[in-house]
Amino acid sequence: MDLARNGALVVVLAEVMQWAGGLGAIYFTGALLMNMAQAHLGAIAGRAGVMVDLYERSIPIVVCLAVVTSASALGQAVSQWMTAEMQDAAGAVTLWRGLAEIVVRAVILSIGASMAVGFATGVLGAQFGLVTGQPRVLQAMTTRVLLVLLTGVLTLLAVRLAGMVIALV
Amino acid sequence: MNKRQTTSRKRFRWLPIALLAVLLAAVLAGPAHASSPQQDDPPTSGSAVQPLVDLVTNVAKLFIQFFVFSSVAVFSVSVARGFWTAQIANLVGSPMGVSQAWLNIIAAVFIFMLAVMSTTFVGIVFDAVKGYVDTSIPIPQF
Repeated sequence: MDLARNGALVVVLAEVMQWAGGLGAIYFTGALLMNMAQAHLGAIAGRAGVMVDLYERSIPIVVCLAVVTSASALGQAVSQWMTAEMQDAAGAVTLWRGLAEIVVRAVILSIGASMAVGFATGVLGAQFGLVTGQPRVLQAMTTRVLLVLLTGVLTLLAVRLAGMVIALV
Repeated sequence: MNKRQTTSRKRFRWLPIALLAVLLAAVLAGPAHASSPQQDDPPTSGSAVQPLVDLVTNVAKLFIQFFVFSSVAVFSVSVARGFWTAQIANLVGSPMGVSQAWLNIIAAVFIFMLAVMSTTFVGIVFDAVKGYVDTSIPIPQF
């Protein structure tokens, strides 16, 4: 950690950060574009399940883009945790706990947004199904929306559930 | 799963590695961006993730706006289609046609209301669960 305070190293690391962030943003933007173009070509060719594939591939890319654009703030926080806490074994545990809490907070605070998007997507899909005369549209929509809410609630309660398991030991 | 999908999935398998590399770079370069590192006062995890959460929220807002506006358009198409179906059914003398059209229109209205109120419903669920949410990780004592 003392090395990190060295001026030259700090300059190099800042440049690495800038390059890594820039390259990551370019890569994920390109990946997103190619993903959508591929889905479009699939739709033209009449492939089934195009939207499902597009969704499955695009969500991680959008999340990665969000992480890349917030990497500076996250990295700053993590490095400050490391310099402040890494003194002994208990410090290491506290450091790991702090890092894990960063991930937990990021996921839990974002879960409301993802639930809302999942809900709206499910309902919009049902609307399209109704227009095209698909059978069992309401059943499929109800299942999908309930699963979105259920998985969201389970994610929100994950830490509490883990705490209950630990308390049983 | 066909061969194309398998190839595509394999191609995207190294996404987490790229993400980890970027995160590692961010972690290593963190001190470079810290204006005055205070060794005894680490930031809270809440403040650390706030930019990421804000970004995710803004992206979600954008998507939801798009979905709701699309939903208005699709709703109007659904209702028009429902009435048009009823007209055709009436013209050809289908006994169940008008009732089917009514069911279609009622379902369209119901689904449209769900779409418009999606954020409200999620807010209700979130508020109901909020009291039970815990973000501090318990450490077992042996």
